[in-house]
Amino acid sequence: MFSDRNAMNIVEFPSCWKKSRSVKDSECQSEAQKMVIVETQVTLREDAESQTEEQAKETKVNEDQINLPSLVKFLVKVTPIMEEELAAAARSRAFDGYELATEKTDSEMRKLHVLVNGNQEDIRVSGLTWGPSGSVMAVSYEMETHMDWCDHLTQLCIWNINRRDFDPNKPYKIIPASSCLTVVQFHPRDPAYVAAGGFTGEIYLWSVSREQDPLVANSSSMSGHREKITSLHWINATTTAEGSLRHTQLLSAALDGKMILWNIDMNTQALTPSKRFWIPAEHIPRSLNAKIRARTELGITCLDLNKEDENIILLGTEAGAVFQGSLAAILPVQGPDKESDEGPEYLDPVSVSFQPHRGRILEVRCSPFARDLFFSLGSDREIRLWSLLQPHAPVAILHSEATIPLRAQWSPFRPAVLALTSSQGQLFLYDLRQSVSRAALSVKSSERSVALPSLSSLAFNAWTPGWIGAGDAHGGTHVWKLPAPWSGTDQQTRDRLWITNLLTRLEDEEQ
Amino acid sequence: MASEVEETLKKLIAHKGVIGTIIVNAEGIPIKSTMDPHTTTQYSGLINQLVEQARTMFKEIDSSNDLTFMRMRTKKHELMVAPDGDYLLIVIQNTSERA
Repeated sequence: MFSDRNAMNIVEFPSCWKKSRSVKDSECQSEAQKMVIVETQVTLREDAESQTEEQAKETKVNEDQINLPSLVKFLVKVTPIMEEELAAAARSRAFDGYELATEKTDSEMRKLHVLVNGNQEDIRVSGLTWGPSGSVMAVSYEMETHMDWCDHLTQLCIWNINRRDFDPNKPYKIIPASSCLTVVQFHPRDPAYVAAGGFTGEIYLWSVSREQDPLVANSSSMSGHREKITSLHWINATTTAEGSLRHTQLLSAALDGKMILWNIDMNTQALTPSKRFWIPAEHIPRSLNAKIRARTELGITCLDLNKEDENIILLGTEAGAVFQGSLAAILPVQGPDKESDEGPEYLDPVSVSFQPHRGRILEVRCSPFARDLFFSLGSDREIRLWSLLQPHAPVAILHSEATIPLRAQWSPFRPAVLALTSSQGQLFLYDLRQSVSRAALSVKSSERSVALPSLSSLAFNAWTPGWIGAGDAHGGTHVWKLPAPWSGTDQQTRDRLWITNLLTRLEDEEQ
Repeated sequence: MASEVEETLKKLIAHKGVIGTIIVNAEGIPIKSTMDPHTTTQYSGLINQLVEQARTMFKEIDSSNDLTFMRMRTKKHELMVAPDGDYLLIVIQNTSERA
């Protein structure tokens, strides 16, 4: 009943709603995104403090504070008297041809005083210093020998020679110290302060004017010296209002080879090292033939500051080497201490090395009159005069007449004069203009002819012309007055000329 | 009146050899001076003390007496001081120039 049937007619009918799909390529792009880098920064802030100096009190009275009528009244009354006196003085012949008796008679050294503190024969005068004004002298003492750690109780004694109650056997002020003192130095302007260095390496700063507890500051051994102080100097020592020591520093050198610049803090009573210097062993001149380990300490035996340029210093060492150094040095070196050391890093101060002496250097001193001139005194009995510009050879050599010279110093009044003390109790004075080989004047510390104690310290008085002090090994301090020509400022011009000739002659030879 | 004071100081300094004049009040503070500040302060402070001491000395010897004028000669200068009431007049003269 069913059969296949071929449908022959195919009928199509398109959709009335659906359309055939077509594909087409098309593009579309967004706009390129712009990137911009912008920086912004906030300012860095730094803090700085500044403070103005305390102004010294103005002691002048304001114009408007003056009571004018009374001043005029005073002047009206007083002026005629003054004018009359002035006229009388002009006519007066009272002083014509008058010469001071003291100026004429001194043709020899005159012993003025011997200062002794009690009966201490076994103690040696280790340092003496004249205070500003020139009438005060401070003397430090040390025991002659030390078997071990120094625990001697010594004293710093101060005499005022011009006081009415002056007694050469009794100082007017005594400051006790807990060890032997080896150097002492008055503040160059303010007589209230005196600094001293000890055998154990401690440094003390005392105020003389305080009745009780004179200690102003002292150093701690942690960052300071560990051996005997050999030299002490004041740096930037000006006088400010109310005796402030704000900008003042102390410079010390010791046998442990260190040189330290100290700040003074009066509030905490402490001296704190601001710069420390150490001479590396490689500076020792080869000619000394010394076998040196790298960390060997080169004991500094003496130090002096250039009088015109405080940055220039001169150092004398135990080994015989003489160095010129600078306080402005910045080259760091490996210091001597390992652990347990606090304080600023060590700097190498040496800038020039001079031809060394054969033997320990006893003294180096810069001339107070010529920037380039200084001398070094060695235990080889030579006093060498040097020019700072000529480190290879001295300008002149003096052979000291003392068999064992001890201390030497330039005269503060005569540029060509220097003094030298000996272990036989003699004081020699050289006038270099007259002779560089023979002392022009010599004097003994006492009338006795034998066994005089050695003169272990020496100090010219820079305020009173002609006064010179020297301390001996038996605790006595001698004060002499030199004959007038030895301290006369009238010789200065010729002395300076001599020095200039000495220094320039050498330069000419070099050329 | 201020010019009057200046005039007087000028008159004094015109004298032969005079190198400076200073007026000091009773506290030792300089009021007028023709010298530099440092020298002025030094002279006025120290001379004031000296005059006080001299005055005390004469008063002690004879209480009805008083210091009227002081003249001192040193190696370099001659100093004249006129104390009166609340002020001191100091005149410093060069000795070498006069001779």
